[in-house]
Amino acid sequence: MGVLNINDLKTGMVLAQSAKNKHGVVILGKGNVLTEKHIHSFKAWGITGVNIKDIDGDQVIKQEMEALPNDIVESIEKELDKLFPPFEANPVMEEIYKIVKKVNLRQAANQTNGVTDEIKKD
Amino acid sequence: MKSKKIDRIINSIGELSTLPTIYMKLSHLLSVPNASIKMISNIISEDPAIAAMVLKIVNSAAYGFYNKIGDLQHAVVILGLNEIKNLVLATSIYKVVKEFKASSAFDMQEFWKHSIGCAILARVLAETAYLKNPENVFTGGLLHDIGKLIHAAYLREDFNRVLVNVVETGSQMSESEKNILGFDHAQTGSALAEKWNLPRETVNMIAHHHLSHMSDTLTREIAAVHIGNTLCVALRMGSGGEKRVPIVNQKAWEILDLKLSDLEYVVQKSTKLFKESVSIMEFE
Amino acid sequence: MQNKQIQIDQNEFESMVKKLRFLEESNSALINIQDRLNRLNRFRSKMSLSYDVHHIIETWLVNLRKLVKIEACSVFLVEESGIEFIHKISKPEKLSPVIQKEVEAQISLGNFGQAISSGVPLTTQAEVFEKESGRILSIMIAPLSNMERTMGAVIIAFEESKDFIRQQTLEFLYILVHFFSLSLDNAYLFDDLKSAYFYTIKAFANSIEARDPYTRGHSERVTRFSKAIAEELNWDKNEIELIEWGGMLHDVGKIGLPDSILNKSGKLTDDEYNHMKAHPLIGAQIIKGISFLKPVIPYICEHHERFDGKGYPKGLAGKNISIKGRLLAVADAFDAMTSDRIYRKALKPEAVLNEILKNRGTQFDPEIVRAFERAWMSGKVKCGSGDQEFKGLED
Repeated sequence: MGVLNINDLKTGMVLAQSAKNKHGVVILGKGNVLTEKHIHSFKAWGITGVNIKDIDGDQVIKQEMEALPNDIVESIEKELDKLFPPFEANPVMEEIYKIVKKVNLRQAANQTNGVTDEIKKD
Repeated sequence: MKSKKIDRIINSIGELSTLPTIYMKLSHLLSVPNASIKMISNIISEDPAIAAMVLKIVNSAAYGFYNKIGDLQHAVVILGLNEIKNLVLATSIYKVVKEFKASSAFDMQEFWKHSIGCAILARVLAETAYLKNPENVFTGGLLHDIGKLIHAAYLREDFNRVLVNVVETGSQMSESEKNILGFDHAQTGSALAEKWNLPRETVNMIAHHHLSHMSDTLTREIAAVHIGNTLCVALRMGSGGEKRVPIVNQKAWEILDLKLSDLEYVVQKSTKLFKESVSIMEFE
Repeated sequence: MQNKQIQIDQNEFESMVKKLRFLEESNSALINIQDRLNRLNRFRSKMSLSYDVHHIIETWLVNLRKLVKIEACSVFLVEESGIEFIHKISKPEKLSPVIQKEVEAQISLGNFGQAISSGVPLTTQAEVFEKESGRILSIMIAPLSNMERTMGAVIIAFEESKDFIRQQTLEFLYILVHFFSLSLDNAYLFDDLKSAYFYTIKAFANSIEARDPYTRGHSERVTRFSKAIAEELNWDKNEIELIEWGGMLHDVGKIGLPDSILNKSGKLTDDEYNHMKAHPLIGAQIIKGISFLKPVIPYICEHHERFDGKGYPKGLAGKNISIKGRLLAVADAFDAMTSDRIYRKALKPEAVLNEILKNRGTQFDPEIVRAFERAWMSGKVKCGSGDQEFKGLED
């Protein structure tokens, strides 16, 4: 049960908490299954974080890692370990670390799919 | 607390005869109260390379104006004198130092890319956080590491040692510089900016972007450059010599009052703009 | 001597010319600003005249393009449930599909959401618009909102050309969007208020029907039949809206009637009948105090008048009866006859139609009857008999 970034949402995910806009109006209620339309709606309202049942941010990354060959994942992780110094209790750095990891994983995934363009729409 | 050494270096830049007089003329002119727009743009135009580069930058997706400004006079009117000062300084320093055989360990092209990346990230952060003048933050980002160029050009050998030291120990460049040179690029860069009568805001962004001391000033603009810099290193947009990502000062994040989930938006948008700004990456 | 006099110092001359030129430029700039302020003022006053959402949007779009040079403009409104942004209108219309695509792209990029969640306009580069032509356009996404709610968004596409003074024009656009937002908010508030008022009065009106189970739903049905007739007569929107009130309140005067009269199963005595006949006037009396309901009084007062003048309370005849009274009379009678009453069962609708046709010119206005017939033919007047739920026209 974790808050996922809007860009990590996929159809079929289930809301663990209702998604509300800035005024507190419920855009989609708890327990609903996400469709493309819903995700688009969240984006329109500027909802950037959504609480999803049974999945959290780390699991999203895990899933992406599992989709890639081991040696690639390892080399990405090694590089990131070199790049990022140890930090403690710094949620910003954690978020940055996660984002960068995702970027690298997705780049690698695109390359292995023969797509040379770096930023491909999800 | 400027060290004498810094002063000497800064002064020597001004005195080098290889520097086109445009910089001196402009610097002088911009401190004169009634300098006309036409006069300013004329002087800048005396160096076509600088003029062209300034125009390219203000017209790039990176800057956020998208191809609108046709000539320098227009640029001066739209952007205001402070902005123009910032941009002229950035481009002239790069141009001049580029012509020096800077240290071989220091890739100028990658450095320029890093500066642009930081400029974009800082600007997008500033916009997302509703800062008043995101363009100022852009130029702050563009100039934040300018001190490194000075070191690379005028303290070649020592700077090489700094670069090597960073690779070996994994420390931040700033730390290494202080150990080896006695001062860091934030100090050098801000000293130069001050000499040029750049706006106080810009000087501060250069001076305090590391936010490593208690005495460092913290404003939202500085926070944007600080975090922009970290993101830039983390995303490996170009390289300013850092081998490790600088840790974000939590107060800087707090002062911007954004949500963590906004960061991905910032990164996505900036990455997109970075790719679209290829034209300004090549310094002719 | 001559030469000396006409010898003006070259520098002085040049500086005079410069000064003159500067004055000229300043003057024309001032005139420009003055002109803009005037147009802005007229714009503002036009906007505040209306409570009708559609009219507000149209007015705004038309005047926007007169004030600022833009490529296109699009209005999206949040629909009733408060969830979806619906495209309402774009100008120029032929660019509507492109703009909608652009908005989709901006939503995907997160820029649209950023503007909405912050409540502040965001300007960015066009993703889709004019990409093929190579022109680079700017897109402003401006939310229409205040602290409590977001009503929608305005998307404006413009070109920042040489003459485009960015800061000024952007600020100008912000002001214009703000006007729009205010007008819209006002219209919505007015609607909310009207609605709240309507339902309050409706609750009150329902209390009358609550006492007599045979008339439950009567007002609603009469309203629907009346609207059907009015549509055949091509009444305008506002008049048709008024029928909602008229139908709801036409029998409000019955509140004064005791149960013994209201629910009597046998025939009414003369006294009782006279008491009953007073209800139109009593209703009018009740409503008289509410000034905005003044136009509804004819519905209340005259729905029992007869075309031949033999009706009550005033015995008005023919065109002396307001068209409202004449219209409601038919609807009211139709529902009365097609409903179960305590003193008789409902009649078959076809029989009732015939009865109404028979009484053309006597009880009812022939023109109204004709319109009723047409509504009947096109299936807009349907009913079950007795207590069956009415299946009438769609609202």
